[in-house]
Amino acid sequence: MNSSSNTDMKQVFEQLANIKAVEPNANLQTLTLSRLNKKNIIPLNWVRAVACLFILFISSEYYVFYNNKSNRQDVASYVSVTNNILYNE
Amino acid sequence: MTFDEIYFEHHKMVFNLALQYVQNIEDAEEITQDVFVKVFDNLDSFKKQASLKTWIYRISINQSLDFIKAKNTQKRNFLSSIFSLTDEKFKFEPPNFNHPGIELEQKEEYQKIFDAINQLSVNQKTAIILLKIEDKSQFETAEIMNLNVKALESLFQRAKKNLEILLNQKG
Repeated sequence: MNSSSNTDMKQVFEQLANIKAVEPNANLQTLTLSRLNKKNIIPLNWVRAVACLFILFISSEYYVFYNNKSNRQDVASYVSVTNNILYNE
Repeated sequence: MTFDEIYFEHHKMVFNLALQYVQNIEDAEEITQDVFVKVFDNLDSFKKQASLKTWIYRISINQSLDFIKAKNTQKRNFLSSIFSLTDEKFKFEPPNFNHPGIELEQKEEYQKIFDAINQLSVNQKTAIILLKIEDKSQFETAEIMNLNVKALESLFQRAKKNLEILLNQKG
């Protein structure tokens, strides 16, 4: 690197050092706190847990329902065809 | 230390650091909010291996980089965002250069410098921001960046060289 370009970089870094620190907007804290409050209404982990339980419940209901239906079909196969004729007739 | 106290003590630092990464007020405010939401969420898991300030610095840097990555992904289409190089995702072109720490007369000059800084790799950009804008010592910067001082020195030298090349290209 030659000396003139070094001086340039020195100047660039001086310019960067002169950037002033800025005071953020006063309502930034309010905005941050309102975001935190919104976030705290229902934590995401709870939503996930409830969704898992719901899916588990639905799938167990589905399993039980179809299991019962097939049992009923099995029983029905043992019963002879129904008719209206009385035995003592 | 309560959350309010942490906010009061560090919000200015977080906002200004974000401002150096994105160079406009709106984005810096959004990043600041994201940082404090993360601080709030992870305060219990904060292990005192580093100081609170260093920890918040790291969150702020990561959040700023994530913000830039998200903005770039929005701009690109799906395939090009998958196949782009890791560092490309972090190269930032601010939609509007609106840095309140810079005087209006010098805006163009600074915009040129920041355009070049935005072209640097993530670590080089962070080194320049912390050492030259935030005026952190080498030791503090190395701690924030999780590097040793020697590695930081060589990183800074590379950053300086690349910045010089980029500035010369821009004329």
